Amino acid sequence: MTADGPTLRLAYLYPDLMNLYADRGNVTCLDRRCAWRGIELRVATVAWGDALHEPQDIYVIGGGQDRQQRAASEGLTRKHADRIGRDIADGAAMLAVCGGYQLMGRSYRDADGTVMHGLGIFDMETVHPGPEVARCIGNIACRWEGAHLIGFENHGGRTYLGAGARPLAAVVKGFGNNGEDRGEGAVAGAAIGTYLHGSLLPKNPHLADHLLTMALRRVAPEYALPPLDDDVEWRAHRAALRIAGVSERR
Amino acid sequence: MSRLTRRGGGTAISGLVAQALWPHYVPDALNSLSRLVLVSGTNGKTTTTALIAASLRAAGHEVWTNSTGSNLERGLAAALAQRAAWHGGQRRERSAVGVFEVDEWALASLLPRLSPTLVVLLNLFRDQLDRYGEIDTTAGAWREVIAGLPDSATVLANADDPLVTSVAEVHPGRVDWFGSDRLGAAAELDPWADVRGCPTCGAPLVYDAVAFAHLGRWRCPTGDLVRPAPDVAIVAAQPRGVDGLDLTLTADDPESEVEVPLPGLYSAYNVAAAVAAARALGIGPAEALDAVAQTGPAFGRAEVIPTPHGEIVLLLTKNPTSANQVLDLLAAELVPLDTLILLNDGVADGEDVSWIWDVEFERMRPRRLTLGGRRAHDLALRLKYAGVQPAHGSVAVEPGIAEPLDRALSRADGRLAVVATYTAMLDVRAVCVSRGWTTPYWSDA
Ligand SMILES: [Zn+2]
Repeated sequence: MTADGPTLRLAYLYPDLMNLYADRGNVTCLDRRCAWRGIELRVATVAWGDALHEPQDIYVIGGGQDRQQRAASEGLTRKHADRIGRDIADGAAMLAVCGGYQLMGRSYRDADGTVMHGLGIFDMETVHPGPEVARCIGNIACRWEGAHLIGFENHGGRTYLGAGARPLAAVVKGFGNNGEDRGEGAVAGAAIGTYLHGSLLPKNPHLADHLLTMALRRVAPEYALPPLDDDVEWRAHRAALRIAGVSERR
Repeated sequence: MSRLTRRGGGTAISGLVAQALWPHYVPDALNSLSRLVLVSGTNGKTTTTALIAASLRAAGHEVWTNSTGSNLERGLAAALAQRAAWHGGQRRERSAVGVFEVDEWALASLLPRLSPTLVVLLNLFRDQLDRYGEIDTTAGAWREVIAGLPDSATVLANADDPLVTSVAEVHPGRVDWFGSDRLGAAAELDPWADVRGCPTCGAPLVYDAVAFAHLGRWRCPTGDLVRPAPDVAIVAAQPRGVDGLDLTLTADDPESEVEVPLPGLYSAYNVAAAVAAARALGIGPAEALDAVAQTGPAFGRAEVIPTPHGEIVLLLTKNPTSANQVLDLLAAELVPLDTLILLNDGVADGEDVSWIWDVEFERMRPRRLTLGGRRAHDLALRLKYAGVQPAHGSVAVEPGIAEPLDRALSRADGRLAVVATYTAMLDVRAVCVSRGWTTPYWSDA
């Protein structure tokens, strides 16, 4: 297929530090779904310490181990806060998963009590209750926009949203943000944060296309995203829902 | 439990009973052996344990081992109880040498209660994160128990793994090393490599050569952690597809070449570890290599099973590193093989199947391709995004084990490679056993 469609710029943040749960599958997914439609997706891989001058339409960041997350927090706040903050304020889309999600809040206090600063894209704080408290691990399903999101979660930190943030989805099975208020993830403008990995986007093609739609709204407001044959995607989505013990109809 | 027991060859119950009656059963039984060798690490435990046991047997020792791969405390209890029953008591153990593979976390909990002669640390890869948390956490737990070992114990460790090096160097006693020399060309880590920073200072590691994953000849730019010179080094390794490997090793003296029936570059590390272990136990490298060359594959490691519809070759995968190694192995076949991939999400497989997005299926060129296991549809999705197109027919997707096996066999032409996660491997072997194509694993050991 020729790339006669619009062009999107995606920054994949810190894959050298933050790819704990194969989160790069999300980038693979967006890349393929653009290519199949003739949309040119220019992926900039931003390693820790790399400069990022060009504005972006989509940001993607995954999860990492505590030590890598500390380095990512330092790099993000010192070097990339400005660029990312300006683009998100201007309507750019974001998918921040797990550890990357935590760093898009105001702060994260990890198991050792070390406080990492975040970018404050989402009005939220994350606290790790300590190494002796069980992690939130397992298949997770939630309701989002009249449909399901399905993934796997594995996090020690508990996230609490402030008045300026709303959850992405409602937990049907699993823990979500904190295992208490049934909220999962956060939304601010076109930015999405979530604890779901899996990789998330391939098995949730409606969410993948939602991100692309939001990113395109700014770049090519007239452009309508052509539908794809998502038979394989929905089979995997439904199979994973069944394995999580959630029936398709609500 | 009973299902696991049957599939695993009926070894768990007696161990459970022994452990319940006598909580110190495992440490007491292990400590009463004449010498005790423990093998741990993410990948290669079963094979390396089998190779060390073979070298010791060739040198005339009686060896106790857990050849079924039951490597948690409960499984060790089972292996010991079975042995004890075999000998009608525990009296003969004083002259026997124990060689046991131990799960990474079981090692951390057992080691303070054991007095081992030799502890072999193979590698640390991302594996079953839902069970273990993170590999830095595993390394931290190992460091604690290795630092507490008595001086009398020897530690043997992989010099090519920076994380394992940072663990072994805290041992106050003798440390031997195995690793590579002149092996590997690429100096860039794959994007899915688990360790990229120095375990001591966090600085990005520099690689003069990468063997695979984060194994290779690495350097920390600040110099606070230094790769030790291996006592036993792999100098050359030429894979022969699923059939084996031509290997050249050095140990103290001139290079020795050996043909081993174990496939893949990862086998080279297992052989080097076994030769180095034998050396630490006073067995000459030549004698150890002879024994190694005659050892067949361990459970699911390129085991060949004849069926009425043609041969199948079983290839176990557990994590991105071993899966990428298996794909390399298949790519080294002159003629692409018909392939069946089985993905399960049991506790022993990792309930989180996200790791398949770190497997480079993009490099797969199968002749025919069938997908199965409990997570067959996840696999189908991954392969769609990898753009994998079999040379013949379309990708067949069939959740389960026996159904996709039959489907793959019915259309296979020649050998069928069966790539499976741990419980899928147990299941597919059980199907082959029930049809009389092979025998249960424990009884042919
Ligand atoms: Zn260092």
